[in-house]
Amino acid sequence: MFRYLVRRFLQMIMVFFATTFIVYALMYWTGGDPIQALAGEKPVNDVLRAQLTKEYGLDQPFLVRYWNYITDLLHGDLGNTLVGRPIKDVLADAWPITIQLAVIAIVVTILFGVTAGVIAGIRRGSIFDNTTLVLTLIVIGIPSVVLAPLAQYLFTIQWKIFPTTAGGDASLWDLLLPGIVLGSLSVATAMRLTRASVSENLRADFVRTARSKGMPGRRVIGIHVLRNSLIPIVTFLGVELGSLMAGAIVTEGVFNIPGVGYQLSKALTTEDTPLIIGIVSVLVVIFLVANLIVDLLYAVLDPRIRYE
Amino acid sequence: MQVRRLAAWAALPLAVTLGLSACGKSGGSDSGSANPNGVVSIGIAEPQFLSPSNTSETSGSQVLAALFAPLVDFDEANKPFEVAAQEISTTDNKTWTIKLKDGWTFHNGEPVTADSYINAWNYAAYSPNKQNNAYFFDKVEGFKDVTAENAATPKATTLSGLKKVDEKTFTVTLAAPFSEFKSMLGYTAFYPLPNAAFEDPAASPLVVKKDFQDAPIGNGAFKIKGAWQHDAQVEVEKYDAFAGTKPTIGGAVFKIYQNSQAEYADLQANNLDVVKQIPTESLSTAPGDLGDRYQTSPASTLQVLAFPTFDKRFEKPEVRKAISMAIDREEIANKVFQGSQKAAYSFVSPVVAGYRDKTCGAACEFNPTEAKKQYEANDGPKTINITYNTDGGHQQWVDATCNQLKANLGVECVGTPEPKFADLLTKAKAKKEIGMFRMGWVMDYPSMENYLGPLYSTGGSSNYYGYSKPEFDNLLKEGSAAATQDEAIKKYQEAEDILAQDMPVLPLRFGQNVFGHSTNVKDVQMDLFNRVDLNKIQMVS
Repeated sequence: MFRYLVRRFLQMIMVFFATTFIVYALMYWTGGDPIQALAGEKPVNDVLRAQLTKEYGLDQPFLVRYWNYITDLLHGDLGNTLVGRPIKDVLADAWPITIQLAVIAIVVTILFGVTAGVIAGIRRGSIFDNTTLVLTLIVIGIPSVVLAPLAQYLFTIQWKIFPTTAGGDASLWDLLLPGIVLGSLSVATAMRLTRASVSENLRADFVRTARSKGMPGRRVIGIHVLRNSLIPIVTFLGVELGSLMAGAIVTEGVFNIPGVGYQLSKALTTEDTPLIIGIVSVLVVIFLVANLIVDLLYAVLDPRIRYE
Repeated sequence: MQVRRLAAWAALPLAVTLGLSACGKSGGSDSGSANPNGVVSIGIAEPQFLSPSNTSETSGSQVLAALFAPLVDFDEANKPFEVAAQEISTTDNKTWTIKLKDGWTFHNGEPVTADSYINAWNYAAYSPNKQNNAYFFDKVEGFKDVTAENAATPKATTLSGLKKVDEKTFTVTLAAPFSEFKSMLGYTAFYPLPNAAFEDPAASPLVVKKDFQDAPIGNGAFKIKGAWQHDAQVEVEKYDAFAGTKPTIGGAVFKIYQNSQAEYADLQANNLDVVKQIPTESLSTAPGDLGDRYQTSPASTLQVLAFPTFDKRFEKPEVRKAISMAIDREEIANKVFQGSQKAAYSFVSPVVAGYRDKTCGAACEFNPTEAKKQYEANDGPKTINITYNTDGGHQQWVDATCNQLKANLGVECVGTPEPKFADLLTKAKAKKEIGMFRMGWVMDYPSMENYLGPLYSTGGSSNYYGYSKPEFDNLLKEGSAAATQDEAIKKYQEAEDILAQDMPVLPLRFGQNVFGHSTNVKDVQMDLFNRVDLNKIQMVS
């Protein structure tokens, strides 16, 4: 187990450097003109341009810039945004909100998706199964750019149930509707996955054996079927939590939630390269850790899996 | 009950307190009277900076307009009148004497003095300070000495043209006479700074404290409440010791939105009082949603199509005029922009004094038959292209314009995309073959001169097409040296008429403020700089 962890850790370091390098290279080669992006439509005069180019180090060669960035990063300095705000502060403001939102979304997914999936898997072909099938099909078909504004319009403007937008200092109540919207996008996938997994395991040999031993039905499903069905779902939820952390760009935009997705989309429109790379670097770490946890959970769920 | 409780949650706590105080005051609801203690909420984007010398976009300048009072403001005819200044006078348009009003203080109690202005302006102009608005001081004597190319250190640290006379008076000497200097003083760049803004107010060059912009101390009608909450809001409240005209509201909350759709949704839910620009996606439904709370007013921006003078195909003014007449400006303004921009028939914007409608004359009227006749008689090119930048949502109208040219002139026309506006300008400067190209102009100071000088004078800072005409340059010079503003305007109007004959660019559209407000406010007006006028807006009680 220890050796496995060390190996994974070394891999993670390599992946981290490779991804930050690729992102940095992409941002560099796609060019762009952050100085003009800041100024908008107005032309930037040469004196100011020269000063800003020097300040941001835009005149340095690529490898020098990447090297400077990485050395700063290893010293815990994520740098400043183009308007001079420490990226550390931006992220410190954005993460807590996005984490809350992601947790709400995952809870919604588990509560509705996994539960409905288990019921549908056990009662295959029933009315419940068919209705949820159709419903999930519809939800899968609606992209978040439609679902989020629609939910906002219906539940906050038409019927004033939820707050329209969250804004700064968002409370859990402010984040509830966006969280549900975000979660409902993965509810469908989680439900389908659970249903398939459960119904497959119901026909497995060990379930038949358990049944023929005379084990009570609830115990068969609770211990044998569910636990074995969880492996694909945990993988899915682990990866999903990672992407939810990456910030739901659309949902955070629609509900004006200043989380990571909001910052990322702002950074993209203003071509704020340092901020984009700062966010992505942290995201890479989160994805890597989430993946590691998922892998470790396999061993817990299925004793046959051992890491050496 | 359930719904009511939830609705209360949904509203801003602020709105709730407002409602309560309003009820306590008048009891019966008289929708006509205003609540002088009301706090309005206004949607903005996250400001880039909150510093007079560095703020160049409307969100930041909206906040600064609350915190600072300008030397001059503009009346109904868009002419400047004194606010923080007692008197602004000159005899030769070159040396301007600015006398400040007595009794004005900054929010920290510091008196506003001549030094407050001199220090702020010196800081702004000094090029190593990298202030976005440094170029506003380029008309002041000594600007060259505080500016260095290639990020070097300049010769001088202060503008030689700024001189203190006494505590409340100072003079500004310009490098050349400029009759419109008074109009320039209304902009953000010319606000004063208190001593508290600087690390050491006696140092030279001056350095502004890094955290000053988190809670700027101004001389305006409102002071900041707490600090700038990034990506959330900036809140301001009435400054009781303000010596100028007292505002009609108790304060304002500038709520920050990244997505304009979210901002509009909050307006629909009546959670937000003013949306300064209704998003394009909602333009078609907004008049229905808001009724008479949907409003438009002219904005200062101008969109044009420019002809590079180095492109021989467009050499004849007749060809340029024919192209102009083949474009149906109204159709594009209404169909593509849904009224969020307005067809332009003049070279200067309606927001400046001296604006006249239809100065472009017949050459800008849509007249396809005459256009085709003239185009063919003058041997116009068989294929034309319009270069545009893809990052500003220009493709649709460029394509529409091309389609009109195809249909009305019988030519081939394509849009040529460039990723960024800067790329387009680089190619224009290098005299590459780019065909016609789009240009946008954002006003720096409300004067006709600002729509003429930088764009069409020989060597003008934004004259990317290389237009040059001695008569035009002379008229501008005469205008800048004119004894009165009215005389200056006359000269500028003559200069504009030359443009109408030559058509170096085709005026296409003026910007429009398309804004909306909630049922909680009234008298919502936009000023010349596309900001909500906080001196006029009122809270309905």
